[in-house]
Amino acid sequence: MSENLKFSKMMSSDSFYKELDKLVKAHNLTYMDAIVFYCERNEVEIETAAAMIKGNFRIKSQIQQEGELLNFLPKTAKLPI
Amino acid sequence: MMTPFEAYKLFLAVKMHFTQPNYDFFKYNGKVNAQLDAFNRRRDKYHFAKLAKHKDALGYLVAQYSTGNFTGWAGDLFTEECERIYTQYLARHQSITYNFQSDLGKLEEGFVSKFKVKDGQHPEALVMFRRGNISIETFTILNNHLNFFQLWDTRIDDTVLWPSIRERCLKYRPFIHYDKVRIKSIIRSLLS
Repeated sequence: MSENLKFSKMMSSDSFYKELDKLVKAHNLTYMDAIVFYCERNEVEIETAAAMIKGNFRIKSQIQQEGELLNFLPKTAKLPI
Repeated sequence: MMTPFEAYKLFLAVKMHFTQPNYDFFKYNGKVNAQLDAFNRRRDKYHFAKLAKHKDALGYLVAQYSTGNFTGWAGDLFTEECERIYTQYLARHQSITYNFQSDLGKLEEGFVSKFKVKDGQHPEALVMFRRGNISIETFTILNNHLNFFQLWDTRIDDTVLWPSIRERCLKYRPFIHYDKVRIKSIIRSLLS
């Protein structure tokens, strides 16, 4: 509990995104896996990370893209870029 | 006819819609916590009385906030600049499909490449929007159908300008009414 409180006080959603980005690049993970990996490694509850994700549109977009690729979410229109 | 207090509540609701991420004007049906006593104590009631007399108070407020330059003070609502902004807003809304087509004409050459993000920099379409070459309506409608904001969110490195433009466009989207079938066919013909 205290660890989670510390995590949410110490980290801004931007720095959390940077941490996730590092994990994704270093371990070749998806963003969803990177979040779970980060939470396990730092003993943070996944719900605490969810609050961070809510506040950052970049992480949300990344997860939405992955979700659409994996058919977890309905597909939206996309430009062929 | 609106009362000055109702105009005040409308002003607060539109202001909250455009400035606070959690407030949605349509979700809460424009409801805000405002007390008549508190309103009566305000010294700027005059501006709200003037707003109440306006034939399209909501449109007037939305026009000001959609520019992204409005100060948020009721006293600034009826300047010449604000009147000009509202006139332009009306003109754009009354010929939304025509404006959309003419704006697309500017994007036509190498359409898809104008949305590409290179090295985390602003793509050409965003630069054109910032310059005022493309209207906010065209930009928002295009995103509504092509969903490129999602892609830009993950690729643009800018953490100051892009988030504010994105938020403004997404907040403005429900205020735009247009012929979806016609717009879709225009986009389809452009992409094919």
